Amino acid sequence: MNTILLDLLAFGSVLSGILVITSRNPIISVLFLISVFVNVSCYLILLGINFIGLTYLIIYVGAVAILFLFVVMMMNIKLVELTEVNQKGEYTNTLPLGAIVGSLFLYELAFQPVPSSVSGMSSTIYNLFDEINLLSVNTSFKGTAFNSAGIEAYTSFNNLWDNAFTSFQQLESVGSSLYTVHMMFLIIASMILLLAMIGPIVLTHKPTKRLH
Amino acid sequence: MNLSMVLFLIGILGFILNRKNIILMLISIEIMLLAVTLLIILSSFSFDDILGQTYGIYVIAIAGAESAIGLGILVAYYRLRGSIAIKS
Amino acid sequence: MVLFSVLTMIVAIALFSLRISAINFNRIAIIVLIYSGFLAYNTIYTDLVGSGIGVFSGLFQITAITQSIDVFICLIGALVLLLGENSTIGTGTSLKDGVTVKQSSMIGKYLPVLAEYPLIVLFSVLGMSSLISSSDLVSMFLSIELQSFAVYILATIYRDSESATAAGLKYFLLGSLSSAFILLGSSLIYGFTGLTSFEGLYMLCSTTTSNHAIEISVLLIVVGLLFKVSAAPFHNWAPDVYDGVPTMVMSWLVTMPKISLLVFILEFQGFTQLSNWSSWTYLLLISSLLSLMIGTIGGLSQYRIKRLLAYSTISHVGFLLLALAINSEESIESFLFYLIQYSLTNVNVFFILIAFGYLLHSRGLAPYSPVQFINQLKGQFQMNPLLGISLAICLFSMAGIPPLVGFFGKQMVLYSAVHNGNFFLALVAILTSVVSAAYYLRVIKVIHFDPYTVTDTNVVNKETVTTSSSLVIATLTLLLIFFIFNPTPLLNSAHLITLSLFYW
Repeated sequence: MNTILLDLLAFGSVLSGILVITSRNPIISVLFLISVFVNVSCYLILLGINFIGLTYLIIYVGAVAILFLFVVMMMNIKLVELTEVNQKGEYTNTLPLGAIVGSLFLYELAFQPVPSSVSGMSSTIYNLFDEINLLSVNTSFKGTAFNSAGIEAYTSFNNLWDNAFTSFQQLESVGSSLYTVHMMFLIIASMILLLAMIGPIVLTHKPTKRLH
Repeated sequence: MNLSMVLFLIGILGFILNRKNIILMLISIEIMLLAVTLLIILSSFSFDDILGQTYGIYVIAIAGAESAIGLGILVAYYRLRGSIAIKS
Repeated sequence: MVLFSVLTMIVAIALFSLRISAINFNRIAIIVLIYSGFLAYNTIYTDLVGSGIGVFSGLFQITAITQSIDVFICLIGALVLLLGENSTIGTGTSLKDGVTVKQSSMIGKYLPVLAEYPLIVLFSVLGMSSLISSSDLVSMFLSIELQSFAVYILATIYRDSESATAAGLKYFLLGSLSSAFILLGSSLIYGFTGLTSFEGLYMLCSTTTSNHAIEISVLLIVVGLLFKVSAAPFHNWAPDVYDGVPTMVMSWLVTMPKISLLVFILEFQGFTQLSNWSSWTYLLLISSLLSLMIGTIGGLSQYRIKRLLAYSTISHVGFLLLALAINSEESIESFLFYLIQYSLTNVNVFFILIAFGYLLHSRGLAPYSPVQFINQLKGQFQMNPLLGISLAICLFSMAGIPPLVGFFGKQMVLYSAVHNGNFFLALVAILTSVVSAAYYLRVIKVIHFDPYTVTDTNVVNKETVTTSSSLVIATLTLLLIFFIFNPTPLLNSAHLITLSLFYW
């Protein structure tokens, strides 16, 4: 019961994902894609990774999904050709293969006993909901202990103990690693983005009069 | 981690078992990249490691760039054909 | 160097494309690539570099092999860019309408070089040279994406052709799928170990017992990489894509990404294959077996020459994967040698094909994209005997007939395979080489022995192949023939690079 909101969001994203690939109209597919993005973004924000969650919202929904929507609108997909798909047996001939491949994939990768280093994550989630404080990163849970005088004393443990010395904002910490240690990634990623800008221009603009 | 694997599986199934149109393939690629990014970020959150968030930001940027290029190629394809249906 | 030239060229194309014709951008890119190769050659200090320098805080590493292959990539890139020279030949006259028409308008339907083509090529070279020297999961992914995006755009850059855009779309979709697999594998490694650098992975894996999860993740990464190299059983996209794109672009698509990806698989193998783990090189062996078989059997029934070359590429990739899977000194040396000579032979074949296509076009015999069907090459021996002989020599070298270079490449691979104990694979490799010689010989038969049909007689100008491409064809063909007299430069350099990989 502690993780009800997270489970709901996870279930919502999976449901939206299924509806993306089974929708008939591509515009509805893109809308469910936006729903997937929003669900995953809320999931991340709820876990406390608020910078990345908001980045998801801005970049994925604000740029990528809008781009998809523009292109889908531009494609002028006629609904006539959409209903030509064989309605009766639309999925029956591909669903068994999908079920087999999907179950193999999930067996190998998903529902495995995780190594102990990763399973610490679930305890963090439970801790978060012991003291529901959705807006802050610092989490704490209370424990009771009896000291030697027999007096009940509350001890409080803070998960993020090094906050006592200095605390970085989330964006600060990402930036400090992004620009110093891993700066080569930034340079290559900037070349990729430059290419992504030039590429569609090269592919789609009407050529002006050029020398040959 | 289970969530990201299930989302990746949905993306792959949408890519392969697709008989409708090509936009759905591009959308499935986006779902796959989203699932992987979720895995990276959740792992970095559980490891208290900053590298994962950096990695995740780069993957988000690359996914955006990929969708831009893919849609550009799709538009170039569409201009000559006039439809993006997959003929069965 | 490549980065600065990319930035300069972007501005130059945007501002100057009315004054500088596109072919000059091509030439500038060729000069840039040759200079970059020279700069990379300057940094090959084998004894100073030692076992590798990690640059940029361990994200990339420089070894002797990365610098040497960098030089090779730049040189082959410059060579392939020279293919663009064919599209603007000097002026000629034709008696169309009784008016002397300038050459460029007559080949208005021939594929001109676009000004952006060398620009995107430079992006791709940037991605390739950062891929072969990457030492981290993130930089591997970023370099693969940079290289792949540039190649997707290259495949659809001639967007007035229906087949090119369809091929480009298919290439993009399947390439993105393989990139997603690579990303999934690397994220699983990060999720299970918390490491992204290859050295950290090696240190972790060499001190623990085998872990099922890390093996699966490495397998996923290798599956994604094999997808991109078009090895079987992930080869289905290759003939369709290579058939659809124009020949000039196809020569880039076939030769270049394979070099960088195969060398990267070599380095990746050095980091992740350990003796006490069940090795994933079994996948390479299976893939090599399937590639050899599918490459030969698939190529036998083709009547389009580009598909035939695609299937022959798949079978050569089978040889290269076999050499990679046996991880011994002599097999890596044979891998490097085979890669170098196969790339040069492949580039030569494309030069000759485009030269043939140009000659056919000038006689009005070939439509939009040059040579598509093998039957178009009927009897060209009478038209231009030297070109026919050069193509015969290149195809013989690919089939592995002594005393040409291809034979020595295959012999070294098979020798190391037999030395390692892979008898069945060596036998399959020999048998498939013999069978693949059948479809090479069919092309040679069509060129040399089929009757030459002269259809158009009112085209008066006797077009000859350009100076630059005939020079390249001649040089490469002579390299193939005369390798046996002076094999030491190539063989010794491959040997030294391999020794520096194994013994530092």
